[in-house]
Amino acid sequence: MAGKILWATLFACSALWGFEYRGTVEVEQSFYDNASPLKRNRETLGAFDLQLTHRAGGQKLFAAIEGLHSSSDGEKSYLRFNELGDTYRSGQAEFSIGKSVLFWGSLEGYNLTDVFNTKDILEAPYSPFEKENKLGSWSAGCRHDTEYGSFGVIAKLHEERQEIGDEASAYNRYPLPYDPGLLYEADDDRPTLFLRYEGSAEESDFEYAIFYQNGYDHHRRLVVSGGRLQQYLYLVERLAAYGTYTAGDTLCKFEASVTEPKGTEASYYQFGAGMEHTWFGVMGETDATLYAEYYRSDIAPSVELFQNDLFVAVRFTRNDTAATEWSVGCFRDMAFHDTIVQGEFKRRIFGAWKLHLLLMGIDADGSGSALAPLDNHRSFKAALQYYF
Amino acid sequence: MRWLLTLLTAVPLLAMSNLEVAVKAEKAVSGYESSDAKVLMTLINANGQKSVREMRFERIELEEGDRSIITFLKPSDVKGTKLLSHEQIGGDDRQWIYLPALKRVKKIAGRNRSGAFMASEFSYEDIASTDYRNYAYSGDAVPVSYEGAACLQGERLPKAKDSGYTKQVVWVDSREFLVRKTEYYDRKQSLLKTAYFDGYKKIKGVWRIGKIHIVNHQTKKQTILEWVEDDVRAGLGEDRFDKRQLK
Repeated sequence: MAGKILWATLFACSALWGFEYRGTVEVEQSFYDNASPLKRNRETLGAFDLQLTHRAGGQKLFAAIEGLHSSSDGEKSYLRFNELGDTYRSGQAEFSIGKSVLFWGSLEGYNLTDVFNTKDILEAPYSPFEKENKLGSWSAGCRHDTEYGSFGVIAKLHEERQEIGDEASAYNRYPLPYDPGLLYEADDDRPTLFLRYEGSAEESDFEYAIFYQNGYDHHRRLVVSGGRLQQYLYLVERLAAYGTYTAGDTLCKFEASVTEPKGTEASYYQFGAGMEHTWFGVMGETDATLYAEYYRSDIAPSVELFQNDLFVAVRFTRNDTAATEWSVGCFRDMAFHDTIVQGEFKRRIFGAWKLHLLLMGIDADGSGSALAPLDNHRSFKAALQYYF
Repeated sequence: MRWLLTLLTAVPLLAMSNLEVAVKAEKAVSGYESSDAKVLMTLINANGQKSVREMRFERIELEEGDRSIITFLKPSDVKGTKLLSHEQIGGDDRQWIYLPALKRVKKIAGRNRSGAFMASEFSYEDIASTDYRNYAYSGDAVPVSYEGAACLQGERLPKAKDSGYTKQVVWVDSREFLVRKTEYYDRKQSLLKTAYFDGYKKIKGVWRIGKIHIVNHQTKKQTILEWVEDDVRAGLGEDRFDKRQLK
């Protein structure tokens, strides 16, 4: 009853105040093939999200409400505002405050410079293909635009907790109980500051961004505290850049960063480069896009999957009224010989309804990698999504 | 007899080159400065089944090439997706797409100009490259009658090397210089499709199209584009068409 009242209130308010809205309601059935008999082998999920935007003059109010409920996993149940904020534009300046989700980066498989938001690892913590699952971050910032670029300052005011599934979850492989409470190197209200410049060289068709970070790293180290595992947040300084160069029908991309922790953690670098090329009309109305990327880093394998990895993927997009799309992608870890393969199919059915099928396989051969606890794992997901 | 002589001597003087007609046709629909329109696109397959899309078209006139934002409103799964195009006269347009689920602005590499726009009979080059400078012209336009109206018929050849067309034949109303019909010939020189332009009306003194009906002669598919809302001199600034403003 309370849910119905909430929905009715939201729609009434959004209609009354002229909000633009978009959202999804989804029912999903997942099957897991695990080596461990203690782990759940199937799960039904219900999810929804509603995004509201109101524009008036230079002002934009925005909100994103998300809900999730699992038939069997007690930890997977929430109703939350993942975004809630306001941006105000005056001339060439833009000010923003609130909880928001941002995207930074240029690569397709893994974005090592997409460090602003904390990843939401509740559903698929080991899948690098899951890029939409991010936790909104409370922040305040401003940006000044020039003809060929923009300079921005943004302060992240709060670090988000990462929740995981219950102990029977296919992806909860921790040897000890997990406590989502955070441990900090400094105070928990210590903001993380980002200074950014984003620009483009019109003549050479090159777009780039560079930023300096001072504050908590998005990588977190697991520590044992009181017989439980907790995430420890440490302070870093980071210099990072990413860019895209367009050469005809091919996009060439890179991302790079160097990170210097302020305490006793080891410093590390990360680098990635790749290309994207599309062939049009390869099979009648179908276009094919090839992605090939390589990532290199000296970061500890316990906190990050990518030290010496290749990513290759092909996406087929059929330009029909059903917007049919198939894709197959593979990450190959050449340091630990791990492989993650994913096949995906999407097709519009019955107007606003869409079918989404996802098959993922993980073969973790390396004993020292973050994927090792999963051993050989397969999952299949079938989702029916309604868009409004 | 004297009037006939006058007419015969006047005809060569009145003859207009295809380039002149194209310039006048462009001028006839120019001066909108910026426009903001809501458009319905109806796709009709060979069996007559219909499917409807809804979009918002924002456009700004600039000397170096027009800029446009197409915001998809329906179907719901692409709602909020935006396509930003910067027209490059005589070259490949620059395009970016905003994906709302990822909050990501992504560069599009050299979009296949002949590719279908949203599964319709319009190609990306039909939508984006409207500037007369994107075509080569030769010879004079031929006076013809089209649906009882005096028109000038002429050919234009796309300059872009990756165009899906070898030529286009255009019928232009000889009074107001509004395009009434265009035939598109594919890379094999065969008639591919015909577009019929209708429902012109003046908004704030500027001629605006109301409906385009396009028929593909090879697939028998059709697409109808109807402007359900349209505003000119809409006060959109150049900064609105910056990729940083897409989010």
